Amino acid sequence: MNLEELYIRYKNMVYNLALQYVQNIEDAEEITQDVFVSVFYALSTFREEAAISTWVYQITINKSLDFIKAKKRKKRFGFIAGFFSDDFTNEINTPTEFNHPGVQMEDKEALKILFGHINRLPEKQKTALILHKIEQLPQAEVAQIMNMSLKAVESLIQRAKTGLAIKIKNTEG
Amino acid sequence: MNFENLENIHKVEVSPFLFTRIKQRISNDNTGMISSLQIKVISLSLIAILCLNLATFINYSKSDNSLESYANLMHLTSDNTIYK
Repeated sequence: MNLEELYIRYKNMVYNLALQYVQNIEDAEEITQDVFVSVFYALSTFREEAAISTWVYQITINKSLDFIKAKKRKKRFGFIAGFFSDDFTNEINTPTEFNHPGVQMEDKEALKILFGHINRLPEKQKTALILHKIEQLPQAEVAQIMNMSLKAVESLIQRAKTGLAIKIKNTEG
Repeated sequence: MNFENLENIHKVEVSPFLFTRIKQRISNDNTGMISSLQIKVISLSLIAILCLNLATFINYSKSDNSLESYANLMHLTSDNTIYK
């Protein structure tokens, strides 16, 4: 299978998963590019022990998490640089806009707050929640993608839900 | 606010121009990259230079470089005896 065939088959899967991580069109497009560039270079080394979709999911998750980390680093650097220059901070410290094209107008405000809480969850809890609750993958497949046991994934999702419920309660109440 | 809101998120289509951008990025990467053959040639040359240096160093330390042998080599005497 070559890059074009893989792209046609998985482009929307990759793009939508990236969107759940960053909730922003530009960032999700950048992650999608990163994923397919990595797929292109790693294609020759791919051993068909796992399903190709699992492999693409794993690359997308890693690239999304890396992207978020890099962005946080940039923000932190912007904060430090802000002590020396005003213009630089203004550019970097602007919060990323919530621009999720899959969210309908009536849900936008609620989901913006909900994603704000999801973004503060630990990486593994966030990934398990996104894959199971938003991408609606069965827990067994989530376990395969995350290289974990089914029990561990169940526990991650449960902890994520509990954590979110507490955060939502604190926000509302 | 509850978790059911998450299930209302729709799947969206990716921009039709994205694949062109990906291909462009790959071709840009390729033009700026050193090929594996070049890497092999460079590393082999470095190893060869290192080996030569090592060999020279070992030979130099093994050789007899006392003042006498140097003087003999230059057809000089080291014992101040002019006439024998």
